[in-house]
Amino acid sequence: MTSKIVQTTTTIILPFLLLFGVYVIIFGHISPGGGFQGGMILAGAAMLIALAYGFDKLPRFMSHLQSLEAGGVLLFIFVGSITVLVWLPFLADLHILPILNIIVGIKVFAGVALIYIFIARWELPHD
Amino acid sequence: MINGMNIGIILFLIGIFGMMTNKNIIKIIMSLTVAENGVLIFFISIGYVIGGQSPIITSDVTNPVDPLPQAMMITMIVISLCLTALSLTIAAWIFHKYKTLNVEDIIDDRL
Amino acid sequence: MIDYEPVLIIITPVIAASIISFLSPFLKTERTKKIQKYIAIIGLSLPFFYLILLYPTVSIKTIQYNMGGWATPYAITLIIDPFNYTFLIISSLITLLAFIFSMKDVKKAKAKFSFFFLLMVAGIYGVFLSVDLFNIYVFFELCVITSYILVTLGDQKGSLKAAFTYLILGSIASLFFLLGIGLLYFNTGALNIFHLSTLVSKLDVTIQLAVFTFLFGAVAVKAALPPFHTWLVDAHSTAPSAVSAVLSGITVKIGLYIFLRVFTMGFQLQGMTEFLLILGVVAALGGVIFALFEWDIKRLLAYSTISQMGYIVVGLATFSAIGVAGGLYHIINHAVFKGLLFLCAGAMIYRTGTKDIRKHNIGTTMPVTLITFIIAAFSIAGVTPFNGSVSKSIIEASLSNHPLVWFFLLLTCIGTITIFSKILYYSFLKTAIHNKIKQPSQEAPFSMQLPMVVLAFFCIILGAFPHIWLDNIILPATSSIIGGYTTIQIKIFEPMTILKDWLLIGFGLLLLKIVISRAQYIDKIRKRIVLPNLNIKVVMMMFALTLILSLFKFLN
Repeated sequence: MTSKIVQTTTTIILPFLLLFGVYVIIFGHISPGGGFQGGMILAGAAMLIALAYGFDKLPRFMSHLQSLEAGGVLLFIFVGSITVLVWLPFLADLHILPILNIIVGIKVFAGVALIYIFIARWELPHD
Repeated sequence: MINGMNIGIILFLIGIFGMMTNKNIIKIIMSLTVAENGVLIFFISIGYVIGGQSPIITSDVTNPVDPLPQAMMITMIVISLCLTALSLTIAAWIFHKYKTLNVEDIIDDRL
Repeated sequence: MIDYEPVLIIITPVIAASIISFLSPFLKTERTKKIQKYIAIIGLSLPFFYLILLYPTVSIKTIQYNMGGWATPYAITLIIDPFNYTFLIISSLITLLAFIFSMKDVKKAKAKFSFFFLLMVAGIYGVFLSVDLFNIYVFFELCVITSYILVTLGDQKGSLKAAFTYLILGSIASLFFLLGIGLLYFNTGALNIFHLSTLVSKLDVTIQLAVFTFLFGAVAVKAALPPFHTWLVDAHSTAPSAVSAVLSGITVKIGLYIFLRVFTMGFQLQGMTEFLLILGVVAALGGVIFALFEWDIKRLLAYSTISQMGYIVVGLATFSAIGVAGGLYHIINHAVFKGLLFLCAGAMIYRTGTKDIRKHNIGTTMPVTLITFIIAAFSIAGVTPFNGSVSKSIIEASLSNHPLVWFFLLLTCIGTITIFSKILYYSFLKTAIHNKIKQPSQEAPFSMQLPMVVLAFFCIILGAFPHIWLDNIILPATSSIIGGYTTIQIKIFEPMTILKDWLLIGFGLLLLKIVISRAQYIDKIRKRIVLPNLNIKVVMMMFALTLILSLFKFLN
């Protein structure tokens, strides 16, 4: 169903794509990038897998991605509330920026992959 | 004459013109994206200082470009992504339900 | 000592929404899915009780919170001052009652509905709390995007097309808002509203004019002033009833909140008062006239929303203390009685299964709905002991220099009475036993009756004891926006106003008799005057904005 070229290229490129996404997330507080941009690159990697190996296996992951996304929001608020315990304003400057970047990166990846699965569900041959 | 602000306004007007005349839903959504990118370019070039350097203050940078519009526009790109994703989902839903992508052909049974 | 209150008010719905979404793959049976609804009710009622407890603090000082602890002109600030407080308390009440109503009404996708409803409420609180222009934009977008999603969840036939039209027109409004912010930042370099109010008056008049046009375009689309109103009727009539109540009650007012915050910053433009008065009168009369040709109950209520927004804009147009106080009081009253009307319409549609008022055939089988609908109809018409009369008389008292506008507002009153007596006549009074339409078997369920009774109770209290609300809430709100403190005396049972009310009701019933006798022509007229096309709506918006720009350029 999907072409041999796309499958071979995906096999070669995928590790570098994932590594680059994680690099953009982690170095977000020094160089351009950050949570949102790295998360989008990771979601692009997920879309590439879906294009290369077919859409049939996708809908299994929907509920897992949903709880990953919601867990990301709760974790973000929890990390922000740690500064409240030290009686500073919420999300004050306590060098928590890399942790926030990682949480946002995971959340964006889960969210955009979920959107893609929702739209791709209409294209399934049955249903 | 050709600076960032004028290009941004021209792109915005092209996007609005696209929304006024197209009848295909996907083309209306694409015109919306073009208009949003036009506003983006307009906003970023507000903070431009002639001969300025990029605002990463680690090396010796004496004349940085204003970073505040750039930070605002990162947020705006996220919001634009949400809007595009939502409108494409609604377009896919409309196609699934009405079997056409023409805005004028969607007949809803109003009273 | 740091006040965390504004942050707590925004974060509580977000935490409730994420707990609901986090638990959703673990809850499989029907009984455990009810936990999600109870979490949502807790998440909505906590800010309401918290705001009631905050009232003594707010009346003394303004609560201010800088995000991240940065210094004042450069930080993103969240404040609660008396002007915010009125909007916050009324939105928390209406959203809580609308969610309790929707527990029985929404049939499909209940977890998704609760999730997006809570996020919309968080967006509404964020708009009302923030003072930084770009922060207002971010929360405004959150509220508006979740309301696009909530409109698609209605199970009427036209909800997808209505949601798409609403999406496109709302996005154009947001883009204009951004352009206005960009121009303002380019010329002044500041984004905080209090900091800008010292800087705007020094700008060149042409730049003030351009900023005003862009911001007014965004505000007018959101507040549904003609000719930008075309999205409202389709979107509010095809949404679920609880969502319609919140959209018509709160989200439409966000435009007016931004209007008052931004346009009291010191813009000095000639001709703004007359322009706003004309716009308000066109909105009020246009809404009523278009509503005379409808048989769908929710479209009738949506046109009535456009008419009442015109009323509020007339009140706010003079920028005097009496006018703004009347406008604010009418905003609160309109949220209460329009929410009650949409909830009653939702109960009627739930029990009879149809939106057409000619097919309702209710009679007296739903007594609670009937009584609360009559209370709401009296409120919106302006009969004396209910809350509509207080705010309408304050607005009419502020128009002593413009007698023509006062006359048009009286005509609007007559039209409003006609609309609501039409609904009462066709839905409740006209029982046609030989017509084979089945009457509804019983009253609406208890979770629907409770919000309606509470809102009717508030209708009566807001009208019968106006001085409690005026002196403690409305007048401090007015004096924190417009200088010039004023005192307002209201007598409730004065014979001249009672005579005027019943005279207007008489004229309204006369117009109703004319409408009923010509009932067969209504369908033909309606098909000619309603715009079906999306492209024409966008063209109309752009054309109107260009006209406004050139009009103000000519006057200045």
